[in-house]
Parts: sequence; structure tokens; C-alpha cells
Amino acid sequence: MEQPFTLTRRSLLIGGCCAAAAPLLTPVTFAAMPGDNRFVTIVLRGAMDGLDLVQPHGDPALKQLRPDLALSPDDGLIDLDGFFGLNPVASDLMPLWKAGELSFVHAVSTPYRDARSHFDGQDMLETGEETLGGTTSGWLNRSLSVIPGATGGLAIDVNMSSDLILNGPNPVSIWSTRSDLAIADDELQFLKRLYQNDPAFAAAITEATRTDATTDSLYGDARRAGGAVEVAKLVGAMLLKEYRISNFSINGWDTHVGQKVQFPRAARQLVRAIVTLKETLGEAAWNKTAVLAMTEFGRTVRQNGSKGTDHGTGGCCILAGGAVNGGKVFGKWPGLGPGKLLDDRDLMPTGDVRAVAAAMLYRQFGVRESDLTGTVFPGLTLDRNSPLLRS
Amino acid sequence: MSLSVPTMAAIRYGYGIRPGEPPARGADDLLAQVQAGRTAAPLFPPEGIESRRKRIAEQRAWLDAYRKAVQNGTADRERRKRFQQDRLKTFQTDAVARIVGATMSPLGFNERLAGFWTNHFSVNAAKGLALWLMASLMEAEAIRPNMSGRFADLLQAVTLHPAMLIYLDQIRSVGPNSRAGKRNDRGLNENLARELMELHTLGVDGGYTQDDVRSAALLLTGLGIKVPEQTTQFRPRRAEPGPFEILGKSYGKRRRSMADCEALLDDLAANPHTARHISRKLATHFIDDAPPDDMVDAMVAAWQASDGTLIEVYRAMLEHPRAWTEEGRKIKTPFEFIVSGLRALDVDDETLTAMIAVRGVDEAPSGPASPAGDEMAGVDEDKATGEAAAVAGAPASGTGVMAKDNPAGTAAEKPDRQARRLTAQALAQMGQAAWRPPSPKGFADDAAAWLTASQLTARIEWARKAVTVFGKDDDPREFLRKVLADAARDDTIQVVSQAPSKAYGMTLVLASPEFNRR
Repeated sequence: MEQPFTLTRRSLLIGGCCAAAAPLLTPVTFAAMPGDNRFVTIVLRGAMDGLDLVQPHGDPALKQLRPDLALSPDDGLIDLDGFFGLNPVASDLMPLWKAGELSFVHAVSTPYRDARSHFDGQDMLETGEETLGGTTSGWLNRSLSVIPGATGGLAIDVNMSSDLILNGPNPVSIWSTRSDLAIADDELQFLKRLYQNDPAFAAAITEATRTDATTDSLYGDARRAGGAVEVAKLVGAMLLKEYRISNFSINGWDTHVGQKVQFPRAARQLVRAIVTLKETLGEAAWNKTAVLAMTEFGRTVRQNGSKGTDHGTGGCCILAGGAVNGGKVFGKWPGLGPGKLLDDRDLMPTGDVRAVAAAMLYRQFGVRESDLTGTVFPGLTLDRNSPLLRS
Repeated sequence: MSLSVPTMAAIRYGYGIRPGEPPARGADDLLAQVQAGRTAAPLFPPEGIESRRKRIAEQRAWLDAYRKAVQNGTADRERRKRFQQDRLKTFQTDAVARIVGATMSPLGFNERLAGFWTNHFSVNAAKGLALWLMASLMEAEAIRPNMSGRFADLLQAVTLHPAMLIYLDQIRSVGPNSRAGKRNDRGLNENLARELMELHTLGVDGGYTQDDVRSAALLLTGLGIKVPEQTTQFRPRRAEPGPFEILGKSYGKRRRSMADCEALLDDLAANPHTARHISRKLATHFIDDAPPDDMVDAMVAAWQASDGTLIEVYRAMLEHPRAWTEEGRKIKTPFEFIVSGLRALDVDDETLTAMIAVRGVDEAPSGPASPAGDEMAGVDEDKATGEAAAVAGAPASGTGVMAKDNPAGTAAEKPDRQARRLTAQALAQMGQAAWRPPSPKGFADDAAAWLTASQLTARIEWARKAVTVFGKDDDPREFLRKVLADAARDDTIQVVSQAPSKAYGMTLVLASPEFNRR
């Protein structure tokens, strides 16, 4: 796989450190893009408790089932629409909410049921399949085949290893905020020769030189950190260049114990990541961006014996960006009262998280319905009246 | 054409060739390594198992006293800070010792099995304060002595180890109808029960239901630890009155005991789903992401014929013809890469041992952004671990990256910092921090996960630094011949022999596909 990488690595440094140095990019890769729209997925690993992030304070059962976790507008919960409120740990997202750049979809899940394994749940979320074990490619990777006008080098996974969601037959870049291939050009040629008869290694080194060249101008010689802010900065910078799709993960949501302490730690990472993305992209690019943060399943509606919550089913996903239909909590609320929970423990899912993702692919890239319900999410039925599809 | 048996034994079943070490000549030699490993004490904890246990108890007592002092307003916060630094320093030393131990050991297959089982029974040291001291202890006293005997014994030793009880929240689980459950607001926690079935024994398709998980969680209530000793203890006040039906069998009476938990563990160990799940996982780890079915069948048969005696399961794997053909299907994990790199460079025992020496604290071992993510819990243990939720794209590392302007080996760098950069810290940077897996499932074990652009870049970077420190004057052609033997391909021999410098030629050897595959 030969990439259009012609400039020497060091010559890219001349552009200075800021991500806006886009003219340094080869026009070839730029012209190959289908458009300016961008899509970022964030996988929240460990089962994010949607009922803690977006609390249905208008549902009287909430406080009964979660005496230690539920908040009301009187003790800090930020009311969104009179029924739902935002956990104050996410208060930095309120400017986005007010600007119509943030919404939530509640009571959604993948088709995964009953077993509540993180790992299988994440596999379902990332493969986008109806059942387990059918495929080892991710839906975001498959979507690359059906985005009109898309060519290679469109998507990047920000990670040290690869995430399933972007894994598959289509070429995808993988890069971490900690990677740095500082070697001379002649040495690079030796590495390329070393790997020329091993296709997997050859692909990796080509990828490394290409991606390193674009991050070089972002970081210069500055030390790289590793938190959500750094990852979001890298993603933002890549989206300002030739990339249009990106994925990364945020861990730390498996709040079995002491959720009051644990949940905000993870939530802060998510909030900072979204805010940093907006800052890095700038107004013009942010207006064309949709961010979807999603998790493998929700958590039990009742708090457990350790002031935490256990693995559940229905959860919540977050939409952000200038390209989303913001300022709303979407979803059909199933209620929390007696008889309304799944297996008398979990939030009843009333929507499919894959439909939310499909709506974003449709809005951002014009992926056709037949492709969305065939290649990308086999078996999914799309609701054409979904408010997520409207601007 | 397949590799010679000694080369295959070293690369596929050990941590690669270390010049001068007697080669294993086949399955019997490898199995003898496992037998010998049963009584070989690891280099961690450096002070020994008994001293570490004592230290854990003393530290817990000190912490309890400190908490009282906080309430009285007499707390010495400076000492508290030093106390935390001491824990992190100890953990850091353990982490270096783990790499050094694997590097020095002539029992390569035994060491690789320790890596396999430690990943199978993952605990994350960042979960709570005590685990910083306990993660290495669990590997040393529960896993390593039990890798050749019956799986049931290994399972008991690990599941009942305090580190596992803490990591999977079992110490917080209280039966709702137990005496303790009726008196306070604590209740059931399913975490251990679920992972025990899904990950440690039956496997996710192992024929159990949510009801089985819940019943097992109820049965396991009572399993807890004694404070301040932090040893495992059955606490009847927390135990839910039985009986419970799990996988069609009844466990526990109204009065409950440790024996109930042990009975469940024995039955899970004996379940045919467990034999298949673990046999397949072993073959996947050593041979191929898609191991031959008849190899797995042979391992399952050996398991059943020997009442789950693990060395017989390993024997069945090693005696299958495919055990010695089609090399290079797997990619070394970062740990395997670093250890085999230090072995290839023939770093001498004295230098390696000096790396473990207790040293001053100049940085936290794994920085504020941790990869521990998933099951992270400061809980009431402490918030001072400072563990922020982790972004998975950002593996933990001490001060961050290996800085370009200060490569290992320059005169300005202290030897201990250099040792860390090339061992524990490099490992964290490559996404596999010691005893800090991203979830109870452990680190990825498929080839694709460890062959990405960023991973390869980190390895090339490591190779350059390690060569600068340990081997810049060697002849790369000689080096290649010694450490890859007949695994070196002709095109690699050619590229290496034309390298622009000796040091770069050495780097190419360590960066080559053959060195990174196994």
C-alpha cells in the first residue's frame, strides 16, 4: 500500500507546531476526500451509567432506587428539559447544549441481551451485528466501503493497539499520542527493505511514517502526555487534515463500587475530550462535525450494595458537534417504576444504538439506507421519521 | 521448511535465544522447565513472600491509624505522602524485577506460562492501595507454584487470594439476608462471580445464565479479608443463607462456610467447558490465533484423563505435530519483545540484578493517566492513587515518552532511570504496563493487536536505545546469527549486513519481523 508521502519528514517541521498548518499536506490526499463533514466515535468502555450522566429527575422512582446516586435540581443537577438533568460534573458541556450542539439519546442499547459481559457487549457494539461471533470487522470500518466518494486514508484510530470498531478490510490509520518515529531518511529506507517481504510489517511502517509526519507538526519536540485532552487534540488535528473519521476509547466506567467517586473521574475525561475537540477543530470544522459517544450497555437502575451499580442493559449515548440536532434528549422513555424494568433490574431499551450511529453516517456522509441496513448494520431497520435524521 | 527444534523451542515457547544458555531439545526439556519452575522463587517481591505479607499488614495498620489521626486533626500529611511514594516505589521495583526475572531465567517455558496465567487471572494493581503491593505477591505465591499441577488447585489459590478478592470487589459483597446485610446498606456485588465463570473457567459460551451468576455471587458472599493482616477469611456475618442452585447443582446450607465456595470452584474447574475454554486459550496463545481443532481436542482429552493436571495438557500441546511447524503466526507482546530483546543482547546477570536495586523516588511508576481504566476503583481505600479514568489511546508511562533529547545511555542519565526506561516504563508505553491490564480480561492476545504503526514505532525506538546501552559494538551479522539462528531469513540477513552502522544493524535485527514474530 503506497501512500502519497513525498515530503521528507523534517521538512514538515518548518510549518511550526500548530495544527492549522494544513497547506503542508499533499493536495492529492485532500482532493480525494468526499467532503468536509467529519465523524468521531468515542467508545466508553466498561458500561457508562447513562442514568448518572443524564438523570431522569422527573421520574419519581429514580431517587427511591438510587438513594445515594440520584441528584435533583435542588442539589446541583443541571435541568435540561424539565424531566432530565445533566450531572454537574458535565457542566462544561452546557454551552454546547445551549448552542444546540449537544444532545443525548436515552434508553438505547445494542441487540445484546442477558449475558452482560463487557467483552461480548463491546464486540456487539463495535461489530454492529445482531449476534455474536459472526464477523471480526467493525461497523465503522465497513462504512468506509459505502461512503460515496471515499478513498483510502480516511479514518484514524487513536490507540496503541487497534479497536475493533475500525478494524476490517478497509485501510485505517492507527496512531497514538505517544508514537514518534524520529529516524533519519536513510535508516527509514532500511526499515522499509527489512519489512518488504512481510506485508503486515510493511503496512505498519508505511502507516507509521505517514502518520508520524502529520503529527510532527502538531507536537514538534514537545513531550506528549496521555490524557483525554491529548487524544482529543490529536484527533482534532487529524480531522483538520485529510482524515474525516476518527475513533478513540475512554475507559473507567465500570462503577461497581463507590460510584460517587468513580463516575466523575471517567465523566471528566469525556467532557474534556469533547470540549477539546471543539476547541481544536475551530468553528468552521466543528460545524461540520458529529461526535457519537457510546457504551456497550447501561447499568442496573438500582444501586448495589457497594454504592455502585452492576452491569445492565439500556444506556445512553451522547451526540455533540455543530452537525448534530442539539439541545434535546431523544429516545422513548420507558419509565423506572414497578414493572417497567427489564428483568426487574435494567433500564428497558426502547431504541437501538446502531440506529443512532446509522443516522450519523447518513447525515454526515450520505450513506444510502440499503447500505446502512445491509453492509454496515446487517438486519437493522431504520425509522425514516426518526428526529435524528432531521436537521 | 520448519525451524530446528531448539530454535522453535526458544522462540515459540520461551523468551527467545540468550547466547550461552543450553537450548531445549524438545517437549521433554520444556516440560522439565515447568517442573523445575514449581519451586523456583521469582525475583519479586524482592524482600520475599513472608516479608511482603508482613509489610502489607503493617501498612494497613498504619493507614488505619492515620485515618483516625485525620479525624482528630493530628495527621502527619507529609508522612502520608512518603507512605504513598513508598508503595509506588515498591510496585515499580516489582515491575522491573518481573522483567529482569524473565530475562535471566533459563526456564523459558515456565516463564512464558507465568505470563499466560497472570494474564488469564488478571488483577490491576491500581485498583486500590493494597494492590500495589499485592499484585506481584499473587503471581509469586498463587500462580507460579501451581502452574504444573491440577487446574483446580490453581483456581482455588488465585480465586481465594486477597488480591483477586479486592480486585473483583468481592470484599464489598454482602448477602442481602445475611446478618451484616440486614444491618447496613451494603449488598451483593456480582463482579467476581461473573468473571470467575466468564473469564476464569467456563468461558462466555460456557452454558451458564444470569441466574447462575447471581446465585454464585450469593454463594460467594462471606468470602472476604481480615484486617489489618489482609489475608483471606470467611466471614459468616456477611454470608447469604443457602442453599443456592448453580448450573443445576445445589450449594451451601443455611449455615455457610468456606467449604461452599471451594466446592463451587472445584466443580467449575471440573466442568468440561472449562477444559475446552482453557485448552483453546493456551493453544491460541502459543501457536496460532486459530489453533488446529485436533490439537485442542488432544489437550482436552489430556485434561480429562489427568483430572485437569496442567502439565499433561501442556504435554498434549507440545506433542502435537503442529507445535513444531508454521512458525511466526503470532506477534510477541510488548513484554515478550522487551524480555527477548534483553536476552538477545545478552545483558549480564549482574547488570540485570542491579536494575532491581531499591532506589529513590523521582517519579510515580505509571503517571497520572493510567491504562487501568475499566475496573478502576479508588473506593474507600484511598483517593491518593490519583487515578484518573484512562483514555485507552494513552498507555501509562512514567514521565511520559522516552524523550528524544535525553536518550537512554547518555552520561547525564542516572543508571536507575535508564533501567526503568528500558524495562517497566517502556512496557507501559507500549501498552502493556506490568500488572495493570485494561480490564479483567487481561491484555489482548491476538496477533493483530500488537502489530500497529504505533506499536512498531515504539519497538524500533526501544531497540535503538537498548542497542546504544547494551550492544553497539557487536557485529550485527554475528548478532543475527546468534539470536535468530535458522529463523533469520535471507533477505533480513542481507539488509542487516548492509546497515549504515553497527548500531543500526543491531537495531534492525531487533526490529525485524522474525524477531517480533513467534
